[in-house]
Amino acid sequence: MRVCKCFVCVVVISLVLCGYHGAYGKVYIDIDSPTFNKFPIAITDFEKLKGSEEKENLSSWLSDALTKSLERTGLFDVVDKKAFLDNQGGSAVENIRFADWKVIGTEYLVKGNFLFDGKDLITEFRLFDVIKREFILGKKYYGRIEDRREMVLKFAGEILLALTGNEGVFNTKIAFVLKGNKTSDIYTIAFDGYDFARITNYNSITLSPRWSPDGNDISFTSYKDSNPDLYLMSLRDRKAKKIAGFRGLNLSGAWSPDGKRMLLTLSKDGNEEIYVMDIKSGQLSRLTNNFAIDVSPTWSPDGQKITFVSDRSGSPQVYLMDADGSNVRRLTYQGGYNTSPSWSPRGDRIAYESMTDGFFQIFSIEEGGSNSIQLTSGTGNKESPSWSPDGRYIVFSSKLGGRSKIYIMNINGSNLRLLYESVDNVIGLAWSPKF
Amino acid sequence: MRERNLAVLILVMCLTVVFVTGCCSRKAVKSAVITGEQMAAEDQQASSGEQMTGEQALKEQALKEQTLKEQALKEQAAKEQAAKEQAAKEQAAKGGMVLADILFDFDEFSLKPEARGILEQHAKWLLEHKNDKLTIEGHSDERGTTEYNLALGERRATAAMKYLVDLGIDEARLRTISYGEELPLDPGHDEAAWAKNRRDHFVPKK
Repeated sequence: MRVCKCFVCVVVISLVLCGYHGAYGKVYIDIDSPTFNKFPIAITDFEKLKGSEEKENLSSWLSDALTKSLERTGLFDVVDKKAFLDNQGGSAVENIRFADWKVIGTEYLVKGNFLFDGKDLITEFRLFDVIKREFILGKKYYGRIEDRREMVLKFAGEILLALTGNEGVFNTKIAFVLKGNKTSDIYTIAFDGYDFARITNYNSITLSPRWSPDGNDISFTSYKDSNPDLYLMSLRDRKAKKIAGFRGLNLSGAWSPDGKRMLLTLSKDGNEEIYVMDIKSGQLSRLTNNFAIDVSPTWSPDGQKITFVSDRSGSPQVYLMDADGSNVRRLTYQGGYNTSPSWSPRGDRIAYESMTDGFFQIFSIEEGGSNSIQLTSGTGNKESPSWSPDGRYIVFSSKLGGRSKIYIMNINGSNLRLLYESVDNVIGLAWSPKF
Repeated sequence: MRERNLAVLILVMCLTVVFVTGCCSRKAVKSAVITGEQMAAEDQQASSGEQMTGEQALKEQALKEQTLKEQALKEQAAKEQAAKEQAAKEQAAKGGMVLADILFDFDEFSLKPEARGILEQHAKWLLEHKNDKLTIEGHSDERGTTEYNLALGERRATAAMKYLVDLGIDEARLRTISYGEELPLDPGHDEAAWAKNRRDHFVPKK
C-alpha cells in the first residue's frame, strides 16, 4: 500500500479548495453520542466511460469495495442496490433524481465512473447530499488497476472527513500473533478485512508486535535464536535486526512518540525491570527498581508518562509513572488481575483487560484512576486491547471454545464488528498508525 | 438555478487539474509495480483472507493447504513421538532418570513442599552426574497476558534454580528460560490442563 501511495494522482473536482469543509453543516459529529444515527448512504455501480475496457467487474467492484469500507466504520447504513429507483447514468447534479433517492431513505449518494485502457485506470467519485440536493465533493484518481483499492480507501476517507470532520482509519492495519502448534508468527490485516499478510516466518515462537510511529517498522520478540530476544524489522525489505539479546527476557515494549526510543522489559539483572533504550545507540537506562514483576510498558501520547503492569501489590495491576521512572502510582484497584494497558491516542483514557467472573474483559479508565468502564461482557476471554490511531475504536481478541476472533468496537463498547476469525489462537494485537 | 451554477462551477473545476499528491517519474512507477506484484504474490502464499477473483482456485489451494497441514501435523506428531522415545532412551542411558516437572499455583512462583522434594531428587542426580548441565524451562497456563506470563515463567524457572544452588549445585551448570504460556503440555482449556501447564520442565544435557 505504502509503495503505491505516491503513484495515485488525485484530482480534486470540488469545492474543497474553496473552503467547503468549514461550510458544511454536519462536521464534527460525536459518533459515541447516544443520539448518533448512522448515515444512510447509497452507492451506485460505477459507470464505464466510453472507450473503457471492463475488467474484473470494476463497475460493481468499486461500489462493493466502498460499501465494505464504509460499513466497517460502523457509521454508515449502506442502502441495498435492489431498492434503487433512479438507475440513470451521469453524475451531474441535474441528472440526479434526488426525490427518487430520498424516498428510499438515503441521505447521501455516491456516484462514479471509470476509464480503463488496459493499463491505466482513472476513477471518479462524487458524493451528494440527497436532502439538500447538493454536490458535496468529488475526486478523480489516476493510477493502475492494482491501485483500485487504494483509490476506494482514499475516497472513503474523504467521505468520512466531510461528514464527521475526521478522515478515519481506512488506511491502517492491525498486527497480531497467530499461534500454531508449537510456533507463532506475526501477521497483519487491513482495517476493512482485506490484505491479510504474513510478516514473520521463523518456525519459532514470535510475539508482541509493536509499530513504529511512522508505520515503517515493527518490533517484536522472537525465540528464533533460542532465547526471547528483541528484534526490529523494516516492513519494506522484511529484514529483522536484533536490538536486544541479553540473558533472560528481552520483551518488546513500545516506541516513543518521536520513534527514537523504546521501552522494553529485560530480566538481565535478575528480575524483570523496565528500561528505556535509545534505538540508534542501544544505550539503556533503567526506569523501575522493584523486586516485583514489571512488564508491558507503554507511553502516553505526549511521551510524558508511562503505564505498565506490576505485581508489586501481590497481583498484576496497572501502574503509571513519569517518563523518567519517578512518581509511580497504582491506577487499577478493582479486580485481582489487570494487564495489557494501552493508552488512547487522544490521551484521556487507558484501556486494559481485567479478569471478572472468571473471564477477561476489556475496560477503560481515566488517567486519574476514575470512571472505570467495562466495555465487553459475556463468556470467553477478551484480551489485548489496542486503540485506533484516531482514538475512535478499540480492537481486541476474543477466544471462546476453539475459535479466536478479532473484533473492533467503538470506544464506549458499542457497535461490535468481527474483523477476523481463526481456529488458531490470536493474541498480541497492535493497531498501526495511519500510513 | 443554484444547482446549475454549481454544475458549471464543477465543470470549471474539472478542467482545473490540481495534483494534490505528486506524480512520480515513469521509471519509479515501473519499479513500484514490480514490488507490488511481488508482495502480492508473497501475501497470496500466506493468505487465507478474502480475494475478489479466482475464488475457485483459492478454494482448491485452501483444500490442498488443509490436506498438507493435516499431513504435516500427523508427521510432526509422529516425529515428536519418535523424539520423545529417543529422549526417554537417552534418559534411560543416563541412569534411568527422567527429571520430573514441578508444579505451581495460579499466578504464583513460590515452591510448594512437593516441588522442593522433587528438586532435592534432581539435585542428588546432578551431584551424581557432574558433567551434565540442566536447562530449567518455566511455563505458565494460558490465562493472562503473554508478557506477564513470560515474566511468571521466568520467576518459576529462577525459583527452581535458586533452590538447586542452595542445595549445592554450581550455578554455571544451570540455565533458565521462560516460555510463558507459549508451550502448554496439555492443550486443554480447563483447570486440569492449566494445573499441568503451570510447571518447570527440566532438560538435562551432557
